[in-house]
Amino acid sequence: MSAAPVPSTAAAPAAAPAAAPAQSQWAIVRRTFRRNRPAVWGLRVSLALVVIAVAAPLLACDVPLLWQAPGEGLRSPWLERLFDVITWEHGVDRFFNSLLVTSLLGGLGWLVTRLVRGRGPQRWVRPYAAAAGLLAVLQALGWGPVVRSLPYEDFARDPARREALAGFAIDWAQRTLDASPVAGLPGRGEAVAREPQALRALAARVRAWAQDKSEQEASDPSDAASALARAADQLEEAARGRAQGGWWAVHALVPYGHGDQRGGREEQFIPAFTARTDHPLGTDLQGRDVFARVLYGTRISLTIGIVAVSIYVSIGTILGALAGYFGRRTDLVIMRLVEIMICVPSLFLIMMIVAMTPAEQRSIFIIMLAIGIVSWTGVCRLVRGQFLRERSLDYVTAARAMGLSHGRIIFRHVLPNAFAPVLVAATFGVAGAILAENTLAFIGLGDITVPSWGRILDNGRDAGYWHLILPPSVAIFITVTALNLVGDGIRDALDPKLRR
Amino acid sequence: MTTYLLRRLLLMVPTFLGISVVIWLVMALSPGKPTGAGGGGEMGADPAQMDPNKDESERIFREQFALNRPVLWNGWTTLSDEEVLAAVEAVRGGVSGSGIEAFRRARESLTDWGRYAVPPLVRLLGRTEGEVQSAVLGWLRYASLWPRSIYAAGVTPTDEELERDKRRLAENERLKAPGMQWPAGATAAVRAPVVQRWQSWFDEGRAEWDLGAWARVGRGLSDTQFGHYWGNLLRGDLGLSSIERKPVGEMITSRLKYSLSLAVPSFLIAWVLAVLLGVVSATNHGKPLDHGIGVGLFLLYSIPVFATATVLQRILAMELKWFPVSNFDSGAAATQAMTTWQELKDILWHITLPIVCYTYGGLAYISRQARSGMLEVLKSDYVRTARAKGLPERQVVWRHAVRNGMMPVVTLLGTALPVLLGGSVVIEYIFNIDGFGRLLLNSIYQKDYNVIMGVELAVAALTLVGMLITDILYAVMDPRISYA
Repeated sequence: MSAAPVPSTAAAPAAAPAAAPAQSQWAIVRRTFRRNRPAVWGLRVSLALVVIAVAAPLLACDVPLLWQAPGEGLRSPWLERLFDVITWEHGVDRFFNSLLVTSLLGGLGWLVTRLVRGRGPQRWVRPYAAAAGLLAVLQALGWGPVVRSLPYEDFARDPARREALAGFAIDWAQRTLDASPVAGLPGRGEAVAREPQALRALAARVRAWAQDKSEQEASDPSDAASALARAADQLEEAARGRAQGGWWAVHALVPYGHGDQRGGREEQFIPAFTARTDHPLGTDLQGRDVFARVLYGTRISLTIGIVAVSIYVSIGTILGALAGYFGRRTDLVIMRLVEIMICVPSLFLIMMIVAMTPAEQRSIFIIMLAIGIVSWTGVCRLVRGQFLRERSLDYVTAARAMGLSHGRIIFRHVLPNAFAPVLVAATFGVAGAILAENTLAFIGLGDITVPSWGRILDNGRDAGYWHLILPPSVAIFITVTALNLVGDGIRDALDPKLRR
Repeated sequence: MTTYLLRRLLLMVPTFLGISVVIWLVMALSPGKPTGAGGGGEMGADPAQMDPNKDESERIFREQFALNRPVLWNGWTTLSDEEVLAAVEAVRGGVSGSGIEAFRRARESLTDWGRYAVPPLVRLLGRTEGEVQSAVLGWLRYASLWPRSIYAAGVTPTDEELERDKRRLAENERLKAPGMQWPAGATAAVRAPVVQRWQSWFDEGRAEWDLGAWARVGRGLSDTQFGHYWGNLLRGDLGLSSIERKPVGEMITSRLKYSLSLAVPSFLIAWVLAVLLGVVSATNHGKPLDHGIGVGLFLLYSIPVFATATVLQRILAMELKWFPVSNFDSGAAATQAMTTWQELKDILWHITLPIVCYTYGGLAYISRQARSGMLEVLKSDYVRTARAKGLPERQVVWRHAVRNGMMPVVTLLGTALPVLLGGSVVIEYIFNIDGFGRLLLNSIYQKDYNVIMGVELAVAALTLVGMLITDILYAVMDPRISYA
């Protein structure tokens, strides 16, 4: 038997002082938490990170937020394309975008009711929130009733999107012909909403490139050359449209998305804080905007943290509850399993699971799942300890005597008492899961289609550029510190020994 | 105490078994497949052109890793005639007739079954006729041949094994004889004696084909991927690396010195520092020094090792050039010319940065535990007694309190080891040191299954030993725990 006792992170909440009869346990906890200033700041920063993750398209996006052109009237390409699978390739992005839309709508509704009734929202909030959540999920799955994903043909017909389309063509052509030595080609973001002259110059460059391409491949003309020619046409048309005047556009803070490549070659690389003010943190080696990538990395990290922790908290809670409640053989089996899992470094196991999935299936969902099914042992031991303590108490005996089913006793009566230590473990766990994902990305086992901080950092380490090392490091540091501060605060607030 | 130790040691065995099962299952059931040195050639529909000894590297690879066996349960001892016939028909139909998927599957099962398919094929040979019979004969000739034995590089087979190989070769020669086949389009009259000869060959070797129920169960459990792996493991054989073709055990032990020379010093440093910091922090409880240490450690704890290591490497090694950028030493050529002392200094100079990064990962965690342990003890009655009887504060803290206050830290010893080893992947990746972590990472990139398994098992074994040491230390430090 391993004699190692479980280090309990929180004492039994049942031992709350009886001195404050009017207050519930959670009211006391809340009050104690609020007195802990670092923890409150941690919570504020964590919430700010959530807001940043949700509002990322307002801060960095390659599509104009607002657009006014002659003959088109005022419109918002940004809103129209918020769920477009071409602009937002990754499901995580579309999910967060739907959160953005629903929270904007929610905020609007809240404001309206506040103005009308003169006070905060009451009971009506709940059905609204439920409806908004449902909408968000549907939207993320692509069945959204509000804003539809646009088919590609529509996209091409729309003059407001022509520049972007040209950008796509360039992007695509460059991906297929990445050996080409032609430098100075624009990325997707750059093609959007420029001065007419700039657009015309851009068109000329693309045209030259297309010419070059078709000459090179005179015997075997590829799609890339014609795609480039089309792109040049579109850019010229856009320049003509702009030259008529009467157009303006409002952009996000940085007019680039996290996937926009400015050519995909090293000479396209822009260091931080140069004359190119629209890249505040420069670009990476593929010419992608670092600010946008770090910004959208928040979405990835938060998703990983929350989903992975939900998975392992569920597994750990259920197994721990079974082990602690039934004891005897169940306990023995489950604790053996825990002991087995503890003996292998969890990072090694996660690496193995992730590595065993073929590279094309290696999405962040696999990584979440891997973290989830490996890290449940801590929660399991916590919950088991709590159940062992509680199961001989009178209220459990009473519940049994009343003939309640085991399931009801476990989930309705005992589990709520084990909630507190699990909450603490989960808060620290989110930070841990974020670290695990970034470590995986750092050593090259992450999902390469998402902008993960660890991956940016690894690229920076490889190439030796400070502006690729520092921003992701700082982002990880802030996120993990904030979450750990919150976890510390909750733990201290739940500990009756530290409270007074 | 001895009984306790013994029981503790015995309990390690099922735990280790469980670990190997869990790791193995994760690997065997994952969708990816390991890669070997050789790729499989394009498959034809004619078994006559196939030879179990052809496409050698691919076959060796599949054989060595028992990939031609089922994962957990081998039910091929009871293959039915219909099953085999269906497979033969599907292969005969070709890609165009049966569809690519069905063709591949049938073809794969026929090759994997090997000698398991002999009894149904012999029975089928007597039952079928025409084209189908020819196809059955082709597969029978394929299945009945003994594959060449595989020996690891540098391993010389024993006389017994050589004898067996010779016997098998002779039998193969006999089966390849012209009397055991018929030309294309042969009539039934030509075929009958051949079928007869196959039947008599089969009857001769009855003992191999006729298995009792228990033998079937035994075969079903043992002749599987898992059975083979475990059989080898029991003999202390971790298998061969599919990329380097070297024994995995050897590869791991050769890397062990790199990993341990990082892990052990940094663990000791982290431990001593953590205890010091914990004690200082606890004795100054509530004072600015305590707060300062607390905040500092908290911030340290929140920066991931890979970020610190990257930044340190960049500043100290690349810009200031105080330390070498990577590697364990200056390379074999340079160290040859050095004296032992110089070599040691060279290695130390190289691994200082990795050790610092390594240490720092565990430091914050351990010292937080040390602090809380000390705080608890400093409040206890016996410390008050010690103070009351007039002992100097230094003696109270270092002689009386520390011993008990370090209990939670000792418990960490066992659980910290896997965490530390987990960190080794990142450190070794950044500083390009050929330890455990690099080995695992490289074999993961290359899907070298045996190496992955071997490293994980080795780490698990190390952790088990670490936990054992923890328990012993615990018993030594705390006389209240009795293990009668």
